[in-house]
Amino acid sequence: MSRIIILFKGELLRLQRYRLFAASIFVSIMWVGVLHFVDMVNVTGLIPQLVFLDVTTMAVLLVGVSFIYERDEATLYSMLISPITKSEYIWAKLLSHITPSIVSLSIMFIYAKIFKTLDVNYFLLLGGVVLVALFHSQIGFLLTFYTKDFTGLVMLIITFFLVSILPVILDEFGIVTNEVFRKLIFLLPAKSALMIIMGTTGTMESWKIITSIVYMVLGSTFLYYLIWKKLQDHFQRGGEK
Amino acid sequence: MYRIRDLRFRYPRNSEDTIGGISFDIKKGEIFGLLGPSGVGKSTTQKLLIKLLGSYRGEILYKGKDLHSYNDSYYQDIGVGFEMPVFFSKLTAEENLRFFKQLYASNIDTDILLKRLGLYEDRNRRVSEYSKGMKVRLNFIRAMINNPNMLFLDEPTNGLDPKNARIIKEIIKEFRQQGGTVLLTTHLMNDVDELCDRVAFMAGGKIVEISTPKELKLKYSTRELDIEYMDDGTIRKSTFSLDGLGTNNEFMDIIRKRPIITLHSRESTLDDIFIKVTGVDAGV
Repeated sequence: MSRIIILFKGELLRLQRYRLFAASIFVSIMWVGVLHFVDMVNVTGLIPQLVFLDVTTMAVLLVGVSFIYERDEATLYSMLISPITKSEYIWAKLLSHITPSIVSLSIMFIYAKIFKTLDVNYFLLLGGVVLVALFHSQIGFLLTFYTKDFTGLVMLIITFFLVSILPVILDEFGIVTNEVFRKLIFLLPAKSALMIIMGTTGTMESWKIITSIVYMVLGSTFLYYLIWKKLQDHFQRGGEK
Repeated sequence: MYRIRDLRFRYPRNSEDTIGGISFDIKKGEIFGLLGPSGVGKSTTQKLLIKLLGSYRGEILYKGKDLHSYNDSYYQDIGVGFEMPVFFSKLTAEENLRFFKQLYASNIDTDILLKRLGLYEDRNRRVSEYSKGMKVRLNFIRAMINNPNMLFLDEPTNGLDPKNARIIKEIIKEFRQQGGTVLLTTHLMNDVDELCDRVAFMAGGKIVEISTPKELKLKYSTRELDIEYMDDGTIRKSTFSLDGLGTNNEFMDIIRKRPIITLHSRESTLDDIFIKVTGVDAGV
């Protein structure tokens, strides 16, 4: 069996045992609750918004918590004295932590298809979720290198939410309408993430979707480089936090 | 197995080298003890040899090839036993071992080791439910999981009861008999005495003494003999030089005529040598 598949399966087992999968499912059920109680039959516009919130927040949180556990339990050492490359390790972690986002998307999608009206292509949405989750998982991974413990990680994630995600939500729901603000948020990765996911409803201009995809792909590549380097530095410091 | 020459290493945030130019060899089939108080560079040396740290100066050759030239396949050949537990606490021991086994081309039958180390019945319990001693034993099995040629062990018996410590030492000896090589780091000088073919003492990032335990004991010994004996109902003590002992009339007279209570040569223990060469108690 390919090593990356072994690592991937190991990550999934741990997501389950450390109850991170359960936490993700719980949040998905909350979103389903929102869909259920909202006074709206056609949820074509709402589903991508909920998916955006779920993917951007949960991807950052889950991978961050998982890596903090691994660092605290020193299993990171056990991994890195195994015949695997750092790249295999990073990729397995990222790909496995996209899975809860896909499960969450599927739960919401199935509910909306059965009980509401939804006119979104699942596979387009899936592609968007994978790209956005990959980017945000890497943000979560990277944040762990700037904190010593779980509390510190939560603080960093809250800061990331306030700086990157909240402004996009304020704009999306028309709460802040200032033009300068609305232009500035195009710099934020969360805006690109939202445009990619909203783009699956067919209401977004193509050039905006393409630009957002390029932003996410280039951003993910840069983040991957930073994670690889940080992981290397982490060991050059003798594994100290 | 290893040839290390003028090895130097500095952590990025430090202003001084943690390893200040050490040279030694580890021969195939030997148990080599790397000893010294905390913070002298033992763990750093081990991390360099297991490629957890990379940007060193000097030379490390493994099986005649530069260590830098090895990729991740190097880990197929070595086993590493850390001092701290390195397991996913919410997985069972069996799940942990199965996961890591899959990553290697070659495996041992872990059930045999689990049985020998008294963990077989508890193999389906989560590691978080294990005692410290159980985790230490599981760590040892993790190190052996890929049937390595070279074994790095950091305090392998620390925190174990004498029975399990004995079993681990027996397994280490068997590993050597089968051609395996071991780098052992420990504070327990009894283990060193029992296991190591050669030892190096480190202090201040340098090797200050390297030899066989026997030679070191002779080097640091005083060639004298202490004798306690009864003399008219009183316990008396005398000290004699080992040189010419057989022709020392006073000594021979005591041996022949007095009841002997104790008789000790002043051979240094490794604990004594540890304190002498590093300036620190071995328990540190």
